Amino acid sequence: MSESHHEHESSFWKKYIFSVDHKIIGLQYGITSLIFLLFGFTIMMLMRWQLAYPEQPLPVIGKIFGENRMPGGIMLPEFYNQLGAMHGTIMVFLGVVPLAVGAFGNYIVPLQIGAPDMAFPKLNMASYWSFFVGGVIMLVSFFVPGGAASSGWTSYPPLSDIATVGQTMWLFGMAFLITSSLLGSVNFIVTIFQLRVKGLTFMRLPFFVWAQLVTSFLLLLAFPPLEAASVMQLMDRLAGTSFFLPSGLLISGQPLANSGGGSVLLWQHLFWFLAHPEVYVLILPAMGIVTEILANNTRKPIGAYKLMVYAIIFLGFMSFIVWAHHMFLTGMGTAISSFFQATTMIISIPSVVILAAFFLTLWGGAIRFTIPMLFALAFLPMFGIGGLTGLPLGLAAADIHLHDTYYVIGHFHYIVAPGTIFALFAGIYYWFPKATGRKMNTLLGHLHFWPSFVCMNLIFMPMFIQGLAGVSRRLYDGGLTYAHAQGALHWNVFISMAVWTLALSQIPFIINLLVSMKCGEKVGDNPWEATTLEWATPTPPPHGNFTRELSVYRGPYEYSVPGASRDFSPQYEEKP
Amino acid sequence: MQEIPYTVAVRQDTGLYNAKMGIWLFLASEVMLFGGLFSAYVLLRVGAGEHWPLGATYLNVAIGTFNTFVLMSSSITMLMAWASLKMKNFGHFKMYQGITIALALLFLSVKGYEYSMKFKHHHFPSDNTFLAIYFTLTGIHALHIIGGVVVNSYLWGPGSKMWQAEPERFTNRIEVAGLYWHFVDLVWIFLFSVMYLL
Amino acid sequence: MIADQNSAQKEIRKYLLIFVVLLSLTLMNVFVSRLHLNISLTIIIVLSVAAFEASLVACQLMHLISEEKLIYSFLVLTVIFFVFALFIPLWGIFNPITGSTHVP
Repeated sequence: MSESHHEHESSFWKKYIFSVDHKIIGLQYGITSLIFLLFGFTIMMLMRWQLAYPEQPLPVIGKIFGENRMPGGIMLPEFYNQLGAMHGTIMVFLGVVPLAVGAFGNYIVPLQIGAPDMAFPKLNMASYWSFFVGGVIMLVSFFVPGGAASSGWTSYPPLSDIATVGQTMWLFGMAFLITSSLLGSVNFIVTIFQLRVKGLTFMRLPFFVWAQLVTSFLLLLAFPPLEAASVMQLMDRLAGTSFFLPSGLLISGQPLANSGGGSVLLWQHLFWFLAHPEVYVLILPAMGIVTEILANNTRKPIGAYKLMVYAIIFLGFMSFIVWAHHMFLTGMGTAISSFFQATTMIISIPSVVILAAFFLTLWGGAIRFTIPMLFALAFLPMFGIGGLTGLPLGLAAADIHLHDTYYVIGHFHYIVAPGTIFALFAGIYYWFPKATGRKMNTLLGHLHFWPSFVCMNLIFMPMFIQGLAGVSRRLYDGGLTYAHAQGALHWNVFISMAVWTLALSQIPFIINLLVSMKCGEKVGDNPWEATTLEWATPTPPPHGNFTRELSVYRGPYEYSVPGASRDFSPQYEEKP
Repeated sequence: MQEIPYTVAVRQDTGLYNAKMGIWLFLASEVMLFGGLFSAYVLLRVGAGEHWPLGATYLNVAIGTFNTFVLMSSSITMLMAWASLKMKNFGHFKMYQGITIALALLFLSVKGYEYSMKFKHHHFPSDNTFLAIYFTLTGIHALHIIGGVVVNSYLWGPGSKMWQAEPERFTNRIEVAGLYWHFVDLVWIFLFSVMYLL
Repeated sequence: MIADQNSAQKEIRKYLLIFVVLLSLTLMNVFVSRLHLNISLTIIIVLSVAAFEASLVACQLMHLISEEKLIYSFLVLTVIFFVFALFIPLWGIFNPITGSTHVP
């Protein structure tokens, strides 16, 4: 592990642990986020036991958690709430976004624009380690007295203000994650503007890069108000301030010994100012990945590329001015509610445009049903269902009935789980050969895809039924003692079974990922016969990425160009 | 293909070198951070109606004004530090950068004195929402000053070695650090006006 | 900008002038606040002067006035969202659901 004498050879630590190479950092983000995804999923599997079999002991595994979490193997409500809050937090902030942006963004964007690395490699490394520290804090919070944060991933005061120590750790963890995100977004934006290779104009950028660019602007400008709010909540919890504690608050019948004068809604406004754009951060990279794979596997240019670019820019802008549709039930009057209802309806238009463009791309295409393509195809109807079910939620009147029910959980999970996560799987299968020089196994891919696709629907479709029946979210007993819920309770067992089956379906994927690295079918530099710049590097790409001077001669999706010698014309080759 | 382009030279179509774009983007995010805090101020003040105290009730306007002068002076000396490098005068750079850091430390000392006076008179952030937002806003601002002092000190000390090998790149670093520093001054102008004078 | 000694001297004189203007405006603002005028008027005057001071810092000291179009576009975007973040929560207070009597 000591420095060798050659000037370009680095020690193990500098090469693999404290690397400034975007590909290594991308892989670091990838591995870490996949582990967090698995952890967040495991949390949900635990919760689903409690929902399916309320207050029954969990055999064998239940004893691990000890008497203060699961006495006799029966989950305590406090523990259920911790699991709920941390499932959301981990999946969103430690799983999906670091994978979609930190891993895929970091690895692919410099390659797709012909750059040797990101604009600020050291800052990139700082981003990763900040994320890592934030993640460690979040994990450690489970072991402090009182356990992890348990006020929902939304951390609404006054509950979060008076919650146990775990909430303070959540706030510090978020500070590190937000820092990581801010450093990363500056890096992405500068890289995309400044390091594009000759001939690569904005309208010749792969849609994946556009998606990452808009995502970075969302992260850059939307996160800081949450940072501000987190500081204020820390002040409330540690310095006894009353930013979010209104006057006259009683806890268990006793008045709180604080100054009062605070506003609960202040937190909600600042939180949702971030959290709404955050959901677009969750979907945009996924749309980018799906675009790449659809073009490549239909051997067609993307339908209405320019329109999609304008749509995604408009979407990004609108995402900042819809946030209070999460607050329709907080006592807002008709004027402000109508404003947010209107902007929410408007924002559905660019999403529809993009989805329509995807479907248009399929029309008349020579479809290759590769594993990445299966996941990308599944994304389309799944995102469609997720998006459509969002419409009643965006209409204030309908939201009165549906707010905080399982309908909402069904809605957003359709978008994130068989939506974004499927797109991320697609991306892994698609770019694995570029990073490793080997393809992942196709049979294992099918064993991963088909049961996952079926289970996702079995899990989340019944949630719409439960929500419409009035089953609230975050109920520790799954609705057992709730009069409205009785007719929809039987779905809990059904959903839990589907969740555990979904877990089993991931095993072929984990095996595939690990085994293919050593034993997968060896492939060349451009096994999918794709057109974008990342396929112009050697496999795996060396430090500095490109071994020759590059120029871009055409758009990103020149497939099946009439008169060309092959059914694809790479951006980087002069002759079509 | 190993070197990252546009670290010093500007890119034709954007007209910027990388770090300049980077710092402006970072400052944009800082606008949103202080925006979140000022949004809290507005909401809390409107919610309190007539009960909101005038700044001068709790805060010493003379001291605040003095500190404003200190920070404004440091903005000018920071700019002079950069200008000195543009005119290839390393000695003057060292002097102006040093004064900037000294003025920043003076600002922090005065702020520290203000805080200690508050605590001595038993005025804590938990007393009311005015003091809560005062301590939080000025506290976050002070953290930004500390960050600036750290960066400026590094650039004044060990970082200044870069002047020998890559003078243009070092000058750009001072320009970028200066932009951050002016922003910190800019925020204080609003902070002082809002908290002390209204 | 600082191409030669002469233009350099002019620039530096400009900075010093701006410094004096900033100090003066600050003193003026302090004076206005001590007049104890009607609060709305005080807010308008003090904030306007502060905004002017800030624009001097931004345009002259940060050279924003001669900056690239791209930077302007980033900042315009930021200002739009800043305004939304600052004022929408207020709108929520001033437009509550009818029938409610307390401010949340």
